[in-house]
Amino acid sequence: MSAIQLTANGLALGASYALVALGFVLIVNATGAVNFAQGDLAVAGGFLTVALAGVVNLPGVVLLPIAMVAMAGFGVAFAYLAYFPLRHQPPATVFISTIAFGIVLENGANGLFGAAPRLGPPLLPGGPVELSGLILPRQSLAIVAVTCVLIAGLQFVLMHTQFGRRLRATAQDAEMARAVGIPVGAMIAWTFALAIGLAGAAGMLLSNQFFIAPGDGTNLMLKAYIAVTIGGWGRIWGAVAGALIVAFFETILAVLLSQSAAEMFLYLAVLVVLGLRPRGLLGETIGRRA
Amino acid sequence: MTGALLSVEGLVVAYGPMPALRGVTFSVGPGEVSALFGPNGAGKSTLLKAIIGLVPIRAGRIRFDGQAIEGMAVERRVALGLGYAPEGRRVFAGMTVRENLEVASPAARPERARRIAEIYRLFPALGENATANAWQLSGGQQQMLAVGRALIAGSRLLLLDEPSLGLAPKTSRDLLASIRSIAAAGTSVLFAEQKVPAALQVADHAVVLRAGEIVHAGRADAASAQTIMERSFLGA
Repeated sequence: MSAIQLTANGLALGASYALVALGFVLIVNATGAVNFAQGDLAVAGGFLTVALAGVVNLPGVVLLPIAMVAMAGFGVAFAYLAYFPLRHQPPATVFISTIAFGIVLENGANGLFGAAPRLGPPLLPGGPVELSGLILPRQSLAIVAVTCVLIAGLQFVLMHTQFGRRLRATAQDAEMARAVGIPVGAMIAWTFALAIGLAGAAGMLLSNQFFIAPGDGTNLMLKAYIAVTIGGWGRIWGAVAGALIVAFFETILAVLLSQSAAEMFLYLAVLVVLGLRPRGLLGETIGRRA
Repeated sequence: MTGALLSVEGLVVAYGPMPALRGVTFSVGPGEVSALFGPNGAGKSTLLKAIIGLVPIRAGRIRFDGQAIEGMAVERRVALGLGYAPEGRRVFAGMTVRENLEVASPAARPERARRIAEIYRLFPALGENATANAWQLSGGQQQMLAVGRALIAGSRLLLLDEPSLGLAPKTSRDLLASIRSIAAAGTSVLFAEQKVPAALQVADHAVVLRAGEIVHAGRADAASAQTIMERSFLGA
């Protein structure tokens, strides 16, 4: 594999992880709860596109928004089943509830699709593309491009719309948001929709490039958690940076050294970051979240 | 109570077995400024929170413009015209000054811009720092932002919890003076305050709470600071 292909694959993997991690950050910010089902929800999105591709003959770029909207709707249901009934209970209750929901999803996918990895539809048909004499993997480029569009869209919504301002106000101080008239419950439900819609997109993007299996959720969740820990809790760009770093270890360093060495160095890096910057590389100052 | 914008009748609030308000009854008229006095723990903050809906009530009625609001969600009370600035400001620290005001405005964009311009006229320091993040503001500016945000959210009755707390004397005086400007524009104000003499200069009415009960209510010009202090701390 050429250095360019390797880099492109690393970026594609990092981009997919970033979408899972972003959803994770959105929910943590809005509710203070860690959604341990985020990885399994990404896997569910992957299997949804596998299933869709089996019944309708549409290109991946068309299936992607369909899967995202469906997963966003599922996200609202998830919020009302796994979060809202327990939100006034101790935090551990919501953790357990999301873990339980993740296990249900994993075993549901196992029952429906089997344990073997499945290949999802490509975003764009066709083989590698040639750019200025360089042969570049089309799917990796498409994944990176789609992720950039999604992150830019999310950033635009959060920073430049009244809806986004309300989401951010809810994330920063839910009680005060209520006191200025923001319907906090609806904002939290929308946050779950956005976060799980992004997880669904990640699942689809991963399913073609890296295959998808029912048991992948835990690993994805762990990678998202590490990405957020390295990048900085509560920070969107921290989550993206952390995801790219995790992917760097898993692709480039894994080829240069070995898979196990890369994994060891990844966790060593986590320990170093936690030791030097406990809030992560781009960690938030208390009271500031974006 | 006829003609009152806000009327509170027999309000009871308790935190578990501990009563915080014991049958509080008072009213605020349109365009009036009422100051709420009392020592720490008297129930001032609880009363304001109960009116905006942030703490549940055990008994009593709260009427706003003749409409019973005690069972309403907070956002509906705000939509009716109630604005609330809590003790400690609690501005949205990671958002800019303008965003703090925008997010609280229920109006569509042109009207929102007009109302924000009004807030900037009332508090020019906010306009000068419109693009600064709220955490970068001084304490006084943050308090102005908290008041401005409450005003833009609900412009008929402002509930302010110790707006001068922790501010330098001049900033504190300026802020209390701005309450008169707000009332002159037609907004009623109910504010909890510890600085009795300064608050009496801007208030039309004074209400004194002690251990969750009203021990004095009357016109502010008839109530000397000495009387207020005695009623607050001695219940005399």
